[in-house]
Amino acid sequence: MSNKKTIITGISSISILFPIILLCGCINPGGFFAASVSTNTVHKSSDLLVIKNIKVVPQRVYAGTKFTLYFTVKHVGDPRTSDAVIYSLRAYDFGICKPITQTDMGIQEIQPGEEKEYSISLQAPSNSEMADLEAHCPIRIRLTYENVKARTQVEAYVMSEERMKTLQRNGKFQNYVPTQKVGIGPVKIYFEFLQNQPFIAGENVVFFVYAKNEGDGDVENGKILVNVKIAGGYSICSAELSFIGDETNKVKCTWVPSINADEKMLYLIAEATYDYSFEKTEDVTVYPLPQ
Amino acid sequence: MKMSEKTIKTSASLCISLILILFFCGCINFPNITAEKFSLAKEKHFEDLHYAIEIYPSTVAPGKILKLRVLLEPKKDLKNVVVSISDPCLFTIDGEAEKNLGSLKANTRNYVRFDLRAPNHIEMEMNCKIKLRITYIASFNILTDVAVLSEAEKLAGNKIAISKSKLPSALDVYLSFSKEQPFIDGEEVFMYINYRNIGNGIIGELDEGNVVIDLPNNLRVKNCGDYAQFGNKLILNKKILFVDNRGETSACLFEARANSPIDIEKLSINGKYKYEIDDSIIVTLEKR
Repeated sequence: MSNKKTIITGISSISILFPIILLCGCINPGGFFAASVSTNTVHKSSDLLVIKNIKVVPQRVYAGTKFTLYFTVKHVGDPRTSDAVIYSLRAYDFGICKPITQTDMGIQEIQPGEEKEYSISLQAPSNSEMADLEAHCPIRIRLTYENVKARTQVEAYVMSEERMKTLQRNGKFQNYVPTQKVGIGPVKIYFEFLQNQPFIAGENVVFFVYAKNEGDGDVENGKILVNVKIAGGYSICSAELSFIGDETNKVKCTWVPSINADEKMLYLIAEATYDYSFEKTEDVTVYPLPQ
Repeated sequence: MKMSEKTIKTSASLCISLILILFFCGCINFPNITAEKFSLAKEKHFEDLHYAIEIYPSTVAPGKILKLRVLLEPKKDLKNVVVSISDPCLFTIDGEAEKNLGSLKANTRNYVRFDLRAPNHIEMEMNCKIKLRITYIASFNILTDVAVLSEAEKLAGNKIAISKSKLPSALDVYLSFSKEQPFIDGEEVFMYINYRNIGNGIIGELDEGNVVIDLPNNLRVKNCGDYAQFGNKLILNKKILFVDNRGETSACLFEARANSPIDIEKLSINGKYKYEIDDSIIVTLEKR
């Protein structure tokens, strides 16, 4: 009984002492509470190619008749900043309807801002095939684009230690919040820094790189190879990122910035090439012909 | 006579028509029509100078030239004026990154131009931050009355107006005494000199020999450790460092001496400092 009391007192003492010690800073929780420093993030659209304006003609489809599905593929990128995209397009599931025109549109190229129209004609099932009941034809269109680049550019403000001291002496020193510009497309790469900027020239800078799938589709093979480099300069690190759900693991990169001036704004670019596919389904209702 | 008037009229109208045709065909190059239109990227008014940074164009395509023009209008005489591109972002500078303008007179307009070439290829369209640095040497000046009265005059309670003046300057000098003026003959007075950077730039330090105090005859130096005495002059004999925009305070001990019952003289402090202003402009770098 006495032992039990001692144990309970011991546990309660520890539970009181632990937060006190933690708040006093006597225990370094290491990476547990390590937080990334803030960055301003500017996103571009998560869409790159979209399938839109899906239309069924005639609007009401009856058993045994022919109908056509019209749709448009658009490259939503800005012509001044985006590249052309190579894609393949095919319709592959029609339920009990039967395609009567080509369903595989092959490989094509689309320029930023461009729209391309497509149509597929189908034959609705007969009354007997539908057992005189209303039926549905889910028409699935799959679009796959290849060799698309995901890019993110982040500012890295580097300063010599001497310059930093001069600015501090003059009360002019300020931490710099970098802006990261995340490029167009569903795969977005992000930088995560653990140190405030400016970085000191000649000292280690540790940062993490990871990616997110912010689109509705899937990254082919579920992984991407990311390369981080200095804009107009050398490569810093490269690593394979694997998607678990919509996010990848974080890869640690170490960089020792060097500058030939007392301060300089450098730009880090993370880049990965990926293939991506997504689907669009149009559910066409087929009505039995009145007897 | 009538004929010749008609001929003149005809030739004049022919000439006008010809000029108009040439003008619309673009055969005549009118320099003002095709002139580059610089746009104002930044303008600042500081204690020592006013400057404006102009650029053309504001959005730059790969491989193209960005023209950057800096207008400097000093509010007082400046020496060793240097304008430099301290960080050209991803641009490369065609020519010198640093332009030495030498000495500039107050209220004059001075232009410096830089040509920066955009990289031939960039991965993403970006806003490039181009950093500029303006350095110069400027002077400061402060003038104040020092009034010393004989004991009898002080007892008489005469009011003395003390005049003070100083030139506007990024380096502000603030002078104070341990006792209120007028001083009494024979009393000891501390003078405190405080230096403050009130501008937006950086003063690294005030160099040895760069501050000179011209003493009036009614103050006798008893102790002035940071300054060396040469007759009626005190010259700074150490570097004054600035921490958080403030320089170390100098203190000098004087003995007030009235050479006449009401002795009002001038004390002046003259000095020079090196100043650095950093600024930046944002230029859009196009991908194509």
